[in-house]
Amino acid sequence: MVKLLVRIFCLFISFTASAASAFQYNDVAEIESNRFVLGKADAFFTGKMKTPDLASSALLKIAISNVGAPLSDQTISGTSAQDQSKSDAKAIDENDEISFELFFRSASDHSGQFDAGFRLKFRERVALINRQEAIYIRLPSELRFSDSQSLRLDIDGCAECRVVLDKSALFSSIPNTSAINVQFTPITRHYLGASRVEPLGVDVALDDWNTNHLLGNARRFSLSGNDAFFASPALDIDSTNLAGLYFKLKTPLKKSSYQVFYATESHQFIERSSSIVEVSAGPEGISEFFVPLGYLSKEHPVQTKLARIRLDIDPPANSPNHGHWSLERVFVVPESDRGSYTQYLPARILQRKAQRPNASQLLSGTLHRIFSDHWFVIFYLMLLALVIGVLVRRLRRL
Amino acid sequence: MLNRLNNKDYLILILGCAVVLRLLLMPFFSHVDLYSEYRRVFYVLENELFFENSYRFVTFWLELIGAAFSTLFIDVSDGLFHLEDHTKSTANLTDYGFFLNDPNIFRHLFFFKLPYLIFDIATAVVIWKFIDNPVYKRLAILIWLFNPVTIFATYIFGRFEVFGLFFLALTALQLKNHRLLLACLCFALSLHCREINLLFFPYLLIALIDFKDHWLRTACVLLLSTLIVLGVYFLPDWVLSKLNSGPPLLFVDPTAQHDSEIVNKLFSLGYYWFYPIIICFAGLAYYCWEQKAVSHAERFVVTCACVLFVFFAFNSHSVHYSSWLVIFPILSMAYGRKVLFPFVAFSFVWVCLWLLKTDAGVFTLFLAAPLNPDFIGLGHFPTLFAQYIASEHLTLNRAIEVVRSLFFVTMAFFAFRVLKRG
Repeated sequence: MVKLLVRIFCLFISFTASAASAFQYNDVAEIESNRFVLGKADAFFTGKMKTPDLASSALLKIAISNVGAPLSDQTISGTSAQDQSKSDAKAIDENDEISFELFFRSASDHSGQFDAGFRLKFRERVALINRQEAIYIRLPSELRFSDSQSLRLDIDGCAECRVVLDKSALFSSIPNTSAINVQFTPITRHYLGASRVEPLGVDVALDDWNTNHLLGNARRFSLSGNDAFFASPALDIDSTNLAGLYFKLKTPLKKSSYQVFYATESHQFIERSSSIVEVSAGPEGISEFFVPLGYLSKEHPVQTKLARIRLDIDPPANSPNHGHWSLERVFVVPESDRGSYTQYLPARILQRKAQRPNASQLLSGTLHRIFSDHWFVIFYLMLLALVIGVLVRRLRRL
Repeated sequence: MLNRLNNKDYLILILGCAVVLRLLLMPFFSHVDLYSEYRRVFYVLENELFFENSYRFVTFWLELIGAAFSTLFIDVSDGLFHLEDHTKSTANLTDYGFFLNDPNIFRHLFFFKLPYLIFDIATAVVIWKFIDNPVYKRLAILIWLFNPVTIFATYIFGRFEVFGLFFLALTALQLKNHRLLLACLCFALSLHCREINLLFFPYLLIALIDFKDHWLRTACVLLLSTLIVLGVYFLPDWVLSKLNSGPPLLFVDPTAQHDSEIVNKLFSLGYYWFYPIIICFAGLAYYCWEQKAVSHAERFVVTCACVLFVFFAFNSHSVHYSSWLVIFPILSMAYGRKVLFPFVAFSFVWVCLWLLKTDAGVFTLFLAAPLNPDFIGLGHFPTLFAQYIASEHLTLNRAIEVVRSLFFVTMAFFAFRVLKRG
């Protein structure tokens, strides 16, 4: 009996503790119950789903409203937050958009951390959020959860904004059958772990790559420093049927070097996971090259996901640092289509692989290299045979 | 069976075996320095700047001929050796990686080392002619052709040390044959292969003195010899500077910072070692002077061998520089010097020292990267030592100190055997 009471007490304690920790926030100040001011750096809220379970539903409601202008000192010390919220909200342009990222947990993840590979990105106008007092999104059908009730909402580009959130029901699902009259927010990008490369390949969008020492955008840029590169946003490419990456650039130079870095689930951009190529430009300054990455799925430990790519542009030392470049295409080549792209494999390519070959791989690789130059091998063996033949003949005479 | 062979058969058999061994190594091993060297050579070939480089004139021209010959068999128009900036000709690992991945790499390495092979065999022939005693002759050529130091330096590391050694051996042969002025010419050519040979110049001059001659004749010989050596040494620089209206500095980086401690940089000598070396060199000069009844060639060979023993006792710069040590002790066998045992000891200690002292790219499987780039980073003895052998009392540095001391002792042993008459 005592044991049962103790067990019930423990259960109660753990329940209240989990309930208390269900709603958490970061880089956010709570100025009043359910009213928050967002910080400048990394504002996000984590919360649990209100039943029913998210996995069983395709529609999600995020209870956010009264998005207002940044607080000034006057408004903090002045009238009540609610009144101020209303007055300031009118001052915001209704067409202003705010970026959101909704993180969830992968089925295989037991770390308790949110993974950048599992999230949805969307944007919504302030006016619609305030009018509906919520954001409604349709979840991708392939979404799979293990901890389906735990979510995190990041709010970007609205530093010091005020928002009203329903702490007790920030995330709730709406049954498909419900008759609802609301406007859904389209998801601009979703990351569902690693996704297999389509048989026709995947064109990587070039509009939101980070740049360094470059002026302009991918379509037209010039180099402005010695460390010029494009870095892609997070990708979710499964390495199992990945053959490699194809790049097409328009360059003002006859010849240039490029270094292609790749990040996987286990590492960021590192030197030893990169390929260096030297490519000459064809007619009209077009440079095309293919970087094989098929070994990612064969390495030990296996790199299951191509998480990001980076293209460093390294023109020759004495080349003029002017002229316009253009990154025309970055294409993820599937294994089934490798043959079409091997023609773009540069003659000068240097790949650093994480995996060390074992003795038999080393031996077979060595023999393959030696015998790949047939004519030299024939000449070399004949020369050896000639010298050895002369020696043997001389020895026989003795 | 070898004892039953006559000299000619022995020579052919030994040379044949040596050529087979060398052929087996030539196309498959290399250091990045070999690629850097030939980038310079191809830059001159591509741009036809044949008269704008006077640095190591003989070495460069021999390599230039080898490279030109190789273009008969290999197409290099794809820019593998292209230099964007000739003042920055030392290849980095990325450039070298492209070279390693070139489908013609084995052909390149074979042809690049072909001049080395020719001069290596030519040196063997010079040694054969230099030594009269049939037993020592056979032993000497065996040591020359199968010692690990020159084989490593020439065919595994891929450096041109053998050119300089050939001209030094030829100098000794001319001295032996009393062709003194021709000896001076050969010596001057050896200076165009390696500047370090300038160390031997004072000993050459002393060795040229015949104490039975009248002082005036001796003075004339010395003056003429000096003129020949310095004249031939400085002639290309002078002529090319006239042709080019300036000093020929094709591959010199004008922006590179020159260290004021140039001697220290050049010879890896700390000043605390510099003075003992100078004192020893002076002692050797006096020794050379005192050997009045000894032939020109013997004085030259013995003192030059000892100069190198002193030099290497106190410093160790690069692994392949040790090949300079090989030629004079071998030639000293002509005068009954028993150098076989010190030679074996030296070879063994040299291997141990560089196994321990190496960095990732000098005495490691990095040199086998032409066979397979996966050899890069695969083996590194210092790491294995630290992992499996090192203890609190025997750290890697301590082990290097011990072996370095053994190397010093080997040099002393070598010097003792070379100075001691048989």
